[in-house]
Amino acid sequence: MSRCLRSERLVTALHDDELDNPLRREVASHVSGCVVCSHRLATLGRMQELLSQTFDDEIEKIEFSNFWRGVESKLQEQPLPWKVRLQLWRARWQFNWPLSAPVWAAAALLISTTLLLSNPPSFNTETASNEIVSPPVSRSQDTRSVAFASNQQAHIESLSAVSTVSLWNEPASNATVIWVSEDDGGMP
Amino acid sequence: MESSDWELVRRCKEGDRQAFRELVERYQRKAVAIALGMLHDREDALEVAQEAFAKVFTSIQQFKEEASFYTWLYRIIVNLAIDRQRQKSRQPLLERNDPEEGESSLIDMMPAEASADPYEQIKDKELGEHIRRAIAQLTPAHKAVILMREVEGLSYEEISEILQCSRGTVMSRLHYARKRLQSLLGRYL
Repeated sequence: MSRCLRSERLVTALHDDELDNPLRREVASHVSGCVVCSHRLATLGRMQELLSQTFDDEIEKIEFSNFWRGVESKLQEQPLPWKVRLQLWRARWQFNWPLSAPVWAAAALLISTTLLLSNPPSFNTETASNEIVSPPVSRSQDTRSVAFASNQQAHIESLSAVSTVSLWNEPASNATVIWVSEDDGGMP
Repeated sequence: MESSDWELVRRCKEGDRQAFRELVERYQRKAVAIALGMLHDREDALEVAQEAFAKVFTSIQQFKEEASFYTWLYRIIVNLAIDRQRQKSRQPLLERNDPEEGESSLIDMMPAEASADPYEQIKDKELGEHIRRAIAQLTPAHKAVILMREVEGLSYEEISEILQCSRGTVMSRLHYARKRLQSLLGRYL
């Protein structure tokens, strides 16, 4: 009996499959011939059976079809590191195109430059960028408005008979300067 | 052919969401089983398991592939479950005398304050309910070892890795948990 009390831990380890072969065989041999230890081993086996069956039954009652959705919702609640957010964005958009990022950056730059050059801001389609131009305003007219390029319009409140109207367009800053001078005929 | 855990983790690190979903579907039942054993509440268990997977995804870059994925996952689940239990201020009853022979049934031994647990709305005396209530008597540390050993079939080494304790501590806790459960479930064993 005292030997069986000492071997309680060994019987437990045998049940848990934690014994190496020589010791395992020795303990198994003892258990087969010992009523106390065989009862102990059987009790451990029964407990394991009850516990695993209990939780297996409980898990079977649970519906897992929405489990993934719950995980996604938890992900949205958590502040993700920027690296993870970038990875998720890439995965969501199926960004599988073979070109590398520098190529795409170069392409974006080319497209934006082309758009800028093909549609420069201008008040007069016939003029160069920094030219001073005088729209065909007769001195005898009291002009109220002058139309420039397609989508730009300036309004001149009033002109005297000797007024000269000059326009200066600066594409770099997209600014248009209107000069209205008296007598001297134009911009300084 | 089914991908290994390592392959799925590698793909997760590259942002492959489908790989992460495969990992979730592979381990969701085990994750919920552990959480259920720790918390005794189905909704809490589902929520903790989902939180654990979310935490896995956000920390996936830190995971070293020489370790085991499911031990890492279980560690997260156990820690989250313990935190959840603390938040709910559920105190397992440790100081109970072992039942002597002929003593009244297990139900009579259950503490009154445990009746708030959904598990404890017992309409009949099914064995499963007795077992769950018996497990509820254990501390979180003892619950964790008994669940991982008896339900998940993990080795002492794996359990010690999950709980970040020595193999000897695992054996000691397991021995105590089994003794405790045997005393509570004696008539069924």
